[in-house]
Amino acid sequence: MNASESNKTSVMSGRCDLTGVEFPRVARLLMLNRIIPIGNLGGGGGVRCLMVLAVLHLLGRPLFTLLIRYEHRLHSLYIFLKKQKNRR
Amino acid sequence: MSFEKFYSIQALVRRGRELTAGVDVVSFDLFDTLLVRRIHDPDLVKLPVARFIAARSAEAGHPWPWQKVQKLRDDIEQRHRQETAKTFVDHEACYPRFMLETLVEIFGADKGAALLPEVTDYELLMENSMLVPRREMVDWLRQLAAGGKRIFILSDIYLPATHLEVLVDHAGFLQQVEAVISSADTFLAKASGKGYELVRDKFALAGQKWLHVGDNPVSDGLRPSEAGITALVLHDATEKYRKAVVKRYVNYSGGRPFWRGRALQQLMQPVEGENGERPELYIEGFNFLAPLLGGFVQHIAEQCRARGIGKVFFLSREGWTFKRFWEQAMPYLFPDGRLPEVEYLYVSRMALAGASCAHQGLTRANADIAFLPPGNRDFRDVCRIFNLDVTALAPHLHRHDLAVDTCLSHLHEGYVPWDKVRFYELLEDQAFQEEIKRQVADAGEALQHYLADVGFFRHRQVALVDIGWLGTIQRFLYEAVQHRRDCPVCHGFLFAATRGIPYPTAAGNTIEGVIFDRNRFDMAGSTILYARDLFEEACRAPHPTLNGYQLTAEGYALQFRGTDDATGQAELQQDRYFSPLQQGVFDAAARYGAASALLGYSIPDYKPWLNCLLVGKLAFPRRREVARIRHRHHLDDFYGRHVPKKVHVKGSRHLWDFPLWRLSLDPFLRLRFFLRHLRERIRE
Repeated sequence: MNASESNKTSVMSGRCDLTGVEFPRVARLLMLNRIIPIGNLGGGGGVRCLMVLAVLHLLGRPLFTLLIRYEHRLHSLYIFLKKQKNRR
Repeated sequence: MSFEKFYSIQALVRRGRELTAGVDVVSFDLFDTLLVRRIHDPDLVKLPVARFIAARSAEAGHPWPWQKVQKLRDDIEQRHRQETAKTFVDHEACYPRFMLETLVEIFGADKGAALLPEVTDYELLMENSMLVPRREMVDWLRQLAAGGKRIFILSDIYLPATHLEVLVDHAGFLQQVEAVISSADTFLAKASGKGYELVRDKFALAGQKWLHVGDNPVSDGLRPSEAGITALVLHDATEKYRKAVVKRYVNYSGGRPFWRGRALQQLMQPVEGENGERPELYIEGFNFLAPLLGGFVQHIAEQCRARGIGKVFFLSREGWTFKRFWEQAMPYLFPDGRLPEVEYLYVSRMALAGASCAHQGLTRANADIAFLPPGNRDFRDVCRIFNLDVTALAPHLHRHDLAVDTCLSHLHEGYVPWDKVRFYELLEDQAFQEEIKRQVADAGEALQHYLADVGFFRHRQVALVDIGWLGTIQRFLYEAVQHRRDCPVCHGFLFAATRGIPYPTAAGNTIEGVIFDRNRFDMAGSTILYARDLFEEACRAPHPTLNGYQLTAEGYALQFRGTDDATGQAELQQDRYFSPLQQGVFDAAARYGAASALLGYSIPDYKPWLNCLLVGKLAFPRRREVARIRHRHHLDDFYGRHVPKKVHVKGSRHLWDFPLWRLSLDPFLRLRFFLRHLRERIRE
């Protein structure tokens, strides 16, 4: 049995991320692309997208576990925020 | 009336097991309870179906844009629901009815009706590709069925029960279920509670203790409770989290091209029971190589359709992997079936090199190719590559003041430029060329028999698919047959075209690098040059290389290299080592097809993400990754065994050639190499 067979892991990590191409690694490359041109990255990931994804991947699981119990009440808040956003 | 709510599947199943002792009947909701979708929004599964109908309408001569097809379907479905609501409490619709009306509107009565089974099959294929059984729930269902409980599946959806049975059967637990009931058949749904009354009457469940499990607090919680049924409702935080991630990637991909490839990979990911422990090499195959190969074969298919190419020849040995990938992904991507035939072609540079000389002799360009690898030094290497008898050619060399071991490569000690001039004069010698043609005539004829046998000459246009890098195989192949009148137009598709030597592009013979082409400036794509051998080893077929074509009384025989020697054994060892990696690629192929069909993107959309993958994995690899996916043995008979001058050896050292301790301890090693690579690409 070689090393790669003995070290087993899952294709999708517990943070719903790609094993081997995790979000922090992608974010680091996008930041490097700001300093050195590493190639066509389609305009990059976008700061807001990166922040949302960072929260989701790094804190998402405990957040969802906690907030799922209050989803019904939070739903009203989401609808309110959505209306505010659409008004703008 | 109340029902119990659970925030994890394990807690629900635990409670369910406690309750089932005194229960006769257990019913389950189907979607998000027994089966989960990879995608956050089930309506997205309808989009590839709209594209399929649009493709069929184009074939029929009155093209509809897929967006218009989708709108028509939505409008008709909506109208059906409004009509149902006049008679029934629930606003339900039935797929065969509204889809038939949609198709009739587009294609007319006869053709629309004839197309319905085909469209339904594709819709169910796409649904199946996106649905995954929930392991814990299905295991519990099986135990309940084994314990003699009556099991029902109840669903409020537009698909009738016959269609749902296809989905349940594909998920593997139809045998355990007494009946699948859909609101589309009767328009009596769980949402109003009428669905429960229907099931109770139809299956004589009155007086029996009944447990219902679902995910909707109203349809699966409140309504069954009102009907006196014990209800358990799942509100799964893990599943909500997974779908929130998918949703972000898919939504962001609409506005930011960078996330398109990432959204694709998120949809390809294994979920639930599929996401078990795997070897790390398997994961490299699944998460790194598969999207690259997927983009490559999808681009080839699109080009074949656009250019009217009749047949695709996947060239050995890497073509074996490309062909398998193609066969698994294409049914999802192009359900209309308008695809070229595919064939695996046994070729190799060594086998074709000699055959290419049968008609045109040994050209200067081909002789130069022989001296590209640093291990090739003299005329013996030329004879080894072109399968020539050096003894019979020696007198011709002497006539030009050359010997068989005269150094002809500038990379080696003893090189004298005048010898190379004399060598080029030798190539102009008619007697020398006649001797070469005589020696390889049989191989050339055998090759033509083989190509005729696999239908190479039966098409006007063919695609030749190879891993790369210079297009030498296609060059030799085309040169061997270009004199024939029935020689087809050859469209070459290389995974990466490094173009170390100019390719003789002509109207009937072109090559194109898909993931990387040196003719286009592509900084990120050029990182393939860091570890070309990795792609060769990862895609290689599990059979030895082809040595040549032998002319026989029957026509031809393929001569393969033996595997008994040390070289052959080393290659087998490498194949065994990379088998989990290849398995990862193959397991991802169908997922790639389904995910890409759902998103509706192709390689220009995925390229920014693929660039990120390439740079991350090849230019800035982790030490463990290099240790894992760097090949153990890489063999190439084209390369000779001569050692070039030290200066050339030192200059050709790459990041992936460094010892692992250097990769661990030198923090700027990767950056230095990347800057050097950047400088080289800009200077090109």
